Amino acid sequence: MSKSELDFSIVLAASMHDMKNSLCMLLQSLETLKEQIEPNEEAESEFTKLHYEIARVNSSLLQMLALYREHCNSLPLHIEEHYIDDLIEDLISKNEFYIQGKGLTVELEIEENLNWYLDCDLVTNLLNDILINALKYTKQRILIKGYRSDNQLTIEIHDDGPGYPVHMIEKSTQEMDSALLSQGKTGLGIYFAHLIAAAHENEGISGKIYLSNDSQYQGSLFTLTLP
Amino acid sequence: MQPLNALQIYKGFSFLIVDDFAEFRYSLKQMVESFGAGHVDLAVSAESAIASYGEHFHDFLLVDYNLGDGLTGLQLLEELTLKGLLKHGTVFVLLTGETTLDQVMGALEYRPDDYLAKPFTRNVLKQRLDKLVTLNTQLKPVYQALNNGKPNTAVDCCDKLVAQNPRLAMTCMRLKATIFLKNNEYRKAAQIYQSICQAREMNWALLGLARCYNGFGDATKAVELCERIISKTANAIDAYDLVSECYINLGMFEKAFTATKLAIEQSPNSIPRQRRLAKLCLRYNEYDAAYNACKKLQALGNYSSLVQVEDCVLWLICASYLMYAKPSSRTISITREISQIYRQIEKYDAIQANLAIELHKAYHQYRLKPEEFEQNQFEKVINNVVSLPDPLKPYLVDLLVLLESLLDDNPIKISLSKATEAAKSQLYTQDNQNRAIDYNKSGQLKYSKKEYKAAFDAFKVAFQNAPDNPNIALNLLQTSYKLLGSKNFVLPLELFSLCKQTLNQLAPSDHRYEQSKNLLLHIETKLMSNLK
Repeated sequence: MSKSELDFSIVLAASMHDMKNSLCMLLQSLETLKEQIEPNEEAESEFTKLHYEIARVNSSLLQMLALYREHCNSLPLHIEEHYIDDLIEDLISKNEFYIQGKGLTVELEIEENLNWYLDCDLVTNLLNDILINALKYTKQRILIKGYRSDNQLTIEIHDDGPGYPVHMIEKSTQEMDSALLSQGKTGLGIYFAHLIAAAHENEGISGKIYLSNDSQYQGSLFTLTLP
Repeated sequence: MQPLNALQIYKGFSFLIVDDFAEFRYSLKQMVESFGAGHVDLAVSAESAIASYGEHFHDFLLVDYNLGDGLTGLQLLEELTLKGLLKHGTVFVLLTGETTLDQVMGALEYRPDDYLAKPFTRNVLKQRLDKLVTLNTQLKPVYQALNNGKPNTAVDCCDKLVAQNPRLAMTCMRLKATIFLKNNEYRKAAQIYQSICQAREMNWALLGLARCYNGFGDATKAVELCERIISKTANAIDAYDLVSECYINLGMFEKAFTATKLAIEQSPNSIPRQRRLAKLCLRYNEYDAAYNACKKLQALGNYSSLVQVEDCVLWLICASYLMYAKPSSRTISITREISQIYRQIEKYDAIQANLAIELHKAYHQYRLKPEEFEQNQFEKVINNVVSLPDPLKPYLVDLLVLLESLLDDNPIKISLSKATEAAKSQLYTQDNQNRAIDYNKSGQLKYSKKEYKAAFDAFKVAFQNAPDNPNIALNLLQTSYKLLGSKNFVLPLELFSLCKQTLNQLAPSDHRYEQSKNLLLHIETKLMSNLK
């Protein structure tokens, strides 16, 4: 096969499919193993680490695919009505293993019956990446808030970790483009979050992300607003 | 009240797990068994899943998108719906990777109840299933009413449910709109879709609205709405299909051809889509492409029951063009395939289709050895065609027209011309689509004023000008039904038969299918009682 005949999107899709299947089997084997061995602190800690790394690999794969699609101008948005408590519950249950393993507390303050129009998969992936990061750095507590404000949806993730480095907060306030990414001035996760938020548009307003150290728990605070 | 033990919740439910990957199949089985599932079946392919579901009607279907060769998980959902097998209330969960998520989300017509992206843990699956169980329990009265063929009761149930639980508002509005659309109550359905779109333009609501406009006879507006969907979501395959149908209704075949080709690029594995492509290719003399579309359609038929005898004769016609009218390097290989085409046609044991084979064989003999050509034999077949008591099917007329055009100045051409002319005059012309649109609109106006005889006359002219249009056929039969039994009204049997042919092309999943079947049944009953 000549070089020009190779369609990278097909290679990427096929590889992703295989890798996802492997990750799925890995996760399920991990759960089975965990049930079969006598509980001990050391093993629990190793399981938690393994689980965390699987979540990270998965998150990176998702971002790689989404960014590749965006690069090819083929990242369609599938907007539907979703209840935010459902979305956040899904997010927590994806990371339950790690949360329990590290003995962390995740509190929720979601307005009752709060619904919004959004691409559930992309927004879940965005928030999952931020949550994985918060779970890694937080000491004990995480708070997820969801509310309606100025006709926009706001989701906040607070932690009690060391907070974002100052340079990350500064960069996040700049106009974000792929140049920042290629120069290594921002992380892939934040760039991805910015991209997904901005793709959500309604009546001329775009979604935004904000990084700060104004967490209610004195750690970092990630805010997503969607019109 | 004591909460139900978690294991008891699933005890009464049956599951069907469909995956070609053995390890994943067993891993999923272990998971659902650990939830307490009462009965779990496994299937390795869509075909075995259809057989298993047809036997047990499982409560939950957990289906991987990739099922190896054959149908995908999404096509399994489509096939179950098209066959009319899938019961209301069966939970269909598609397991996908992100790479296939676009195809799932792009499909607006056949959407699973939920989808789960790999990798997922047991807890994530459990949580999703718990939510689906809760939702299904709430919607049970609606599904029961629908399974019992009581759409009005289902609509009432939807209203009651929303009053009790506002979180069900969107689900119930969608269900109601679908029910109205299936009953051809386009205005009621459109009202719901419009109110949803006012809050936010979601693709499925826009598509529903477009279907309503197409139902009203405003295909132009329907195209406009579909194009809005496509501009937002390039892979919204159902929007391309509706655009093609609307352009055909408008007589704008070139645009229909373009839209169909775009849809085929997105998703070639659809029998109605390949059928449309083959017909449009023939219209534009793209014989190779038409033949390929027919072949693809037949290949898809290996996994589906949706291929019709018309499709097989269309394949024969395409083969004939390539064998005789436009010989090329493919001619030899196609000639070798002709006996396979005959076999496919013979499977249906249809009189007119078998005559098509006889005609083709007679012509083929003539081409092979013109010097030994037996005119009498050919004449005999033509006589059999001419003396058929029923009107000729369009596919047989198409073959007659083709063979007539292929014959040189031969005495047999005269006999064939006579048969073709007679058949064509019965079949009506398809040339004047604008006339069809105008008369259809005029008919709708008369119908709304309850001037049924005038409406019938208008719809009849519209149908004569567009005999392939199912909307017009439905309007004509609906009006006929109103008039049957009244004085001085006679529904010509040939006209009824032609309407029936057009409506028989509708797939069981089409929103007009049920109404057309009911209408045909009622009219047939009335016609029979008139005969008595």
